[in-house]
Order: sequence, then structure tokens, then C-alpha cells
Amino acid sequence: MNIFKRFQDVIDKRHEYAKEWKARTGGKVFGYMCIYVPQEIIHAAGILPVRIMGSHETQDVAESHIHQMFCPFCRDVLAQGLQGRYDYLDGMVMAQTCLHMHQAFNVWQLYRPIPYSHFLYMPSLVSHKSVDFFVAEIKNFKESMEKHLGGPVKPEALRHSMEVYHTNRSLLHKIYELRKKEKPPISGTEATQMMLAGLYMDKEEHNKLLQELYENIKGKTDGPEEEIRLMLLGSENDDIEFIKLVEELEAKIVIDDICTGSRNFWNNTTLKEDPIIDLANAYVNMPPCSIKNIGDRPGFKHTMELAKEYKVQGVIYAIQKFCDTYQFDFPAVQALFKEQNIPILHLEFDVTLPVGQVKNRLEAFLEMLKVSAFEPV
Amino acid sequence: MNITTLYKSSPLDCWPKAVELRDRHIREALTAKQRGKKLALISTDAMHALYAGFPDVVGLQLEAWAIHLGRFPVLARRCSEIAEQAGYGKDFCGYARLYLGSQLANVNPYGGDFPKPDFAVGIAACQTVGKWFDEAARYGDIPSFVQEEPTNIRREKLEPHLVDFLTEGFLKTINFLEKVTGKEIDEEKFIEATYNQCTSYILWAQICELNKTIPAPLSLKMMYSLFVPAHQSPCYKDTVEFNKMLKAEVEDRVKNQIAALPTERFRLLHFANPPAFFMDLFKVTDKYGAVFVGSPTVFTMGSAYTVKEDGTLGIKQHPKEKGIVLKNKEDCCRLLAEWRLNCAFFQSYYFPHRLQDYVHMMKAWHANGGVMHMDRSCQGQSMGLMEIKNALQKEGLRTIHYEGSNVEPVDFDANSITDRLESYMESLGLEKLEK
Repeated sequence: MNIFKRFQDVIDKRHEYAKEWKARTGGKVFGYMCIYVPQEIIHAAGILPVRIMGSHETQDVAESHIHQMFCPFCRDVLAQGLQGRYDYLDGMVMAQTCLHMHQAFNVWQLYRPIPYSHFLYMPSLVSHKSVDFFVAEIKNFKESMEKHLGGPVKPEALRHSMEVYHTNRSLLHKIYELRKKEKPPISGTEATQMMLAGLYMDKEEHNKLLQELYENIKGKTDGPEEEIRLMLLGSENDDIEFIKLVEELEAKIVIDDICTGSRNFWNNTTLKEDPIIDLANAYVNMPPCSIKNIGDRPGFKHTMELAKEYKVQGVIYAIQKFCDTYQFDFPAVQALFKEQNIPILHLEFDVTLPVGQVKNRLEAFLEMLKVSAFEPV
Repeated sequence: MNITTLYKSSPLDCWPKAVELRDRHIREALTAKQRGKKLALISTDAMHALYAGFPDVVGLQLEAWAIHLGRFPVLARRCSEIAEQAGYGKDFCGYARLYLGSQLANVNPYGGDFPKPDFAVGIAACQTVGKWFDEAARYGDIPSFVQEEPTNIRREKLEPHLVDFLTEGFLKTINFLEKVTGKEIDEEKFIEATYNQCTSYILWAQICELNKTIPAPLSLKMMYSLFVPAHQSPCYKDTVEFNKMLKAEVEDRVKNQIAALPTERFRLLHFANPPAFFMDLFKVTDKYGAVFVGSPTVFTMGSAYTVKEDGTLGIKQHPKEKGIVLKNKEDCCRLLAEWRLNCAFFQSYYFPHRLQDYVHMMKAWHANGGVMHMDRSCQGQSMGLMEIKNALQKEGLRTIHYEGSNVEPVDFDANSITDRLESYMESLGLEKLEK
């Protein structure tokens, strides 16, 4: 389908896309690290927000800045900055998450300063005060951006941006809903292409493609028979080659709970209240990253609900090496899935994918799942 | 080369008292239940004043427990293996691994059973510390509460919403403690403890200031024991009295040029946590006349250092000196929230602050070199050290780093690290003073 080819093109040529967008519209491009950044604010200023990701290429430029015991993703991201691949950015914004990404963000500013940068503190625990807190942080961010741009973000522009993002999340929900079917109309690979392209694309363009995609697939009933239904959990994962590898082994990833996937859109704004409060509520109440999954640990409840709704038979828990927070969650997650008799495979990723090793482990895991799935009762 | 003694040196008179108070927390935690108290699993970095308002509650400080375990390498190794079997990887927060391992394996380095807490109250400060308590509570099947402490905050302006957020967090902690103990907080004790905590922190910071003197009256190895009362038990009157006594003695040492190392001719700072099982690391450089005069963690953790507008470290004023009268728990919580948010240690989790502060400390304490622990067991303390190394090099200050762990002996090669330190000394042109 041409839509997925378009998604893959954007993913492969994300820098060219952003530069072409700049040239065509005369607008600016801001990079953001982590999905807790309220992108609507950036969009409302006529700026293209793009998520900063690594390139999955080995590098040695980041090693003298961030020690190797920190996650490979943050070093990969920093390397992109140090190598000048994001020199077209006019600004960079980060919302507080993990120490690894902080280092990448801050060291980048030291060596490749960008005309505008802003750091928002993002609360972890959800409460009335944390929403108030984030309202104040969003206001500070908006004011700082307006000061840099030399003009206010107009209320009607913000409302329009919120509608655009609301539509984007709604469309993604509708498409993901179709993946609950016994024969999901799109594969995990295609869903990943759809999600990743959305991290880099103009949201209005992405919405058009999503709408077209939804119309094309909503009535689809064919698909491969008897494939194991898997869920993908863990740290950020933009490794399409990995997803393809899984799905070549007669399994399908029907749902995920990752920041490059469903967590990006799961919680939506209401469009019924003050925009800043609406945004704060939506972002604070997002299904949490593991760093924010503390106290009552609402993330686990959300994960288990997804597993049930999507009739998941197995889970792949794929994390970046040295990711303390997702590693820490693993025993608890494993215990929860064990109660449901759902096996879980734990994988650790580096910048490049060791295909042979991973394939062996996947094959063994899926073999085990196939035996247990098709054993007579 | 013959030893060249440049200064007088003598042991500290208050050292026995320091050791007694250093070990108080563990003694109290291990005997809590016998004394009819409730045992709370808390963080060493918690706001201890909150717990002082509940006299029936004794804290078992998770980090301190792990450090105590770390001093027994065989036990530490066992706890680490148990944690690994439970799914907590090796490259993972060392304090958490050792605590959880000891909980799962019922290990108590002082004999008897693992002291099982009745409930857990965590603080979510660095990226994993809040999660330790969730897991400890899960295994122990005990009630738990986590309170968030913003750390990656910009110090340029103390935002009112941050203060409100943290104040609410402290009040919710009190609500939880009231629920699990069935008693209301004793506000008088809370107020007294708040004042004592501020006093203890200020006194410790003043003692650290005295170590800027040449020769340093205290070595870092001594400071790691001396700072424990202020850090782990700041609310006690005898902690306040001890720190007054210590300060007076250190002032006397400064006046009389009594050095921690009589051959001091070179000064070092240590960055990140030290290895609990190899504190003699800090004596390796003695034979070169190089003394460790401090560490950012010892200076700023649990102390009153804040950063002034000019970027230098200053000591906070006591609330009584500012005319602040605490009347109730709300007043105390707000004061503690402002205190914590103005604390250099927690602000240093925002990397630009850490870079600025650590470079400043090297100069302020007249350090000629730095030793950096790339601690695989603590990403929070190791964050940014590579960049700090680059910044210090630009200032003409040479550093060395070593990889290891603060609590896991198997990840620490004492021989090779000792060799590296000695090579570093020689690369700086220093020769051994002892034959």
C-alpha cells in the first residue's frame, strides 16, 4: 500500500523531510526529546515539532561525553547532534524524564547550541497538584517560546493545533482498535511505520494519510491464519528491522505500550476546557513511562488491560541496555503476566541489532508459545 | 624519598563520639521492634524531620542498609546474586539490589533476621529511588507511599508551583504516616525536629568550609564517618551538639595548622560515591602527600549548601535567624520544601548546575586534581562526569576516572584501581614519600 511506503520514506529521510518542510513553508523546526513535551504549543507557533531519535549506526563521538554505562539510545541521540545531522533545528525542547536523556540534551547544548532550548519539569505522580504544576510549567514554556519568537502564540492558533492533535490521536485510536480483530488489518511493522512517521511529519499531513488508511482497512477481513498475538513493551523502540524479524516468524505484534507507539496517543485532550489545563491533564495522565510509573504504578494496570483487550498470547519486553527503570519494572511485570499465564521474553537492545542472537531467542520463545497455544485443552 | 612532614597531625578527640553516632541509625533500626516501635523503610535522603513527629516510628534507611551490607563483601555478593536471580540486572542501582537481595534472602550483617519494615515511604528523587520502595513493599506485602521530590530544577528562580507541589507531597507523607500508625503527628516534636535538622545541616556545611584551609584539617575518609550523624539523624539534639563540638575542634585544628595528612602537598576531590568495602582507597594517595579533602556528595548531601547568584556555594540561613516562627505542620512542610528545593545536592541533578558546581568546588577547596568514580551501581552520581572531566581539563585540572561499584565488590578491582591511582600520582609529578 502506498501509504506505508510514504511512511517509510519519511522515516528513512526524516532530515530531508524537515528541511524540505522548512523551505516550503518558511517555518521553523523544533526537536523534542521524549513525548511528555506538549507539542501542541510548538505547533501553535507554526513550528514543526520532530522527535529526536538515533540512527542505529555505530559511533564514537558521544563516548567522551557520556560514559558507556549509560543507555545506547541517549548516546546515539547525542551523536546525531554532535555529527550535525540536526543542524537545521531552530529549537530543542525536553520534558523531564531520565538522566540518560538529560545528559544527551545538555551535552548537545554545550557543543552544538541551538538558538532556542527549553527544559520542562514533568511531574511523575498524578494528583491534583501535579496537574497544577504542569499547567505552570507549560505556561512558562509558552512564555519563553513567545519571547524567543518575538510574538505571542494566538489563542485561536492553539485551539486549532489542539484540534489537529486531537484528531491525530483519535485516528490512531481507531486504527489501533482494528488491531483487536482476529486478523488485524495491518501488521505490527506497518503500525510501527505509521507511528514513527508521525513523530517526524507535519501532523495535518499525517492526519490525511491516517484517514485514508483507516478508510482502506476498516472493512478488511483477510489476513494470515493462526499467528501468535504478541505485545511489545519496554523502552523507546524505533527498530523496524526488529519488528519485521518478529513478524517473519509467524507472529504478529497486535499492540504495544511504548513511547514510540501507543503511549504517544493513548490519552487525548477533551477540547472542552481551558487549553493549557486540558493539555496538562492529558500529558500528566498519559500511560506512564517506567520512570514515572511509581507509587500506585498505574502503568501496570494499563498494560494488563491492553493485554486483555488485544488477546495477547505472549509479550516481548525489549529495553535499551542500562535502562535502570525498565529493568526495575521487569520482575513485577513478569509476575503480573505469569498470573495470566502469558509468557514474556526479555531482550536488551544496543544501537545495532544482533540479528542472529535475537532471532534464536525469538524462535525459541515463539516455539514455546505455539506449543502452548495449540495444545488441546 | 624521605618523608617530609610539613604539618602536625593528631586524631580527632571527638572521633569515639562520631563512631557511636555514626552507627546509631542501624542500632535503632535493628532494635526497633523489641522496643515496641514501628519500622519504616525510608530513604537516607528523606526529610527526617517528618518522622520525628512520630516518636513510635523508627526509620530503616535503605541506602545506609546497603552501605552497611557493602562493608561485608561475602554477604554483599550473596545479596547481589539473589537480586540478580530475582531479575534485577547487574548494571543496576547497587543500593536497591543489595537491599532487595537482603530482603529476599533474609540477610542481616549483624546477625538475626532481616529487619522487616512495617511500611515503606519512598521519595522519588533520582530516576530509580522511588521504584526501590515499590518493589520492597511488593515483596514485603506492606503498605507503601511514594512522595515525589523534584530534582532536575533550574535554580535561577524558585517557582511557587514547585514549592506548592513539594509541600503537598510532605503533607501527604504525614497523612500516610498517620494512617499507618493510627496516630496524629506530634506537631511540637515536628517543629523542634525541623529546627534541629536545619541546625545540623548548617553546622556540617560550616565544617566543610573549614576544609578549604591548607592544610586540610579533615580527610575525606574521616568525613565519610563524620557526616553521617548530620545526614542520617539530623533531628536529634545530640547530633546538633556533636556537630557543634566537631566544628569547635576543627576550628582549633585550623588555628593550629593540624592536618589530616601531615605530608599534605597535593589536594584531591573525589566524585560520586566511594566503594563502601574499600574506603582505604582514600589512603592510597597518602604516600604521595596527596590528601582527599572532600567530595561534592559529602559537602552537599544533607547539608545547607545552596548556590548564590554569583555561582558560588553559600550556606543557608537558619530559619530562626530569618525570623521564621514555625507554628504547625503546614509551616514546617513549606519550610522543608523550600529548603530542599534550594539544596545544591538535589539541584545538581540538573546537569548544567552539576557542571558549574563541581568545577567551582574544585577551585573553592583548592583541589589540584580529581578522582572520578564511574559507578556502575549509581547512574545518578555518575551522570555527567565525563563532561565534568572535560570542563576541568580546560581549567588545567587533571582528573582520573575508575570504573567500579559503590556496594558490589565483584565489580571492583582494588588492585588495578590502586595501580591507576598511583600512576595518576606519578603522572602529576609526585613521587612516593615513603620508601
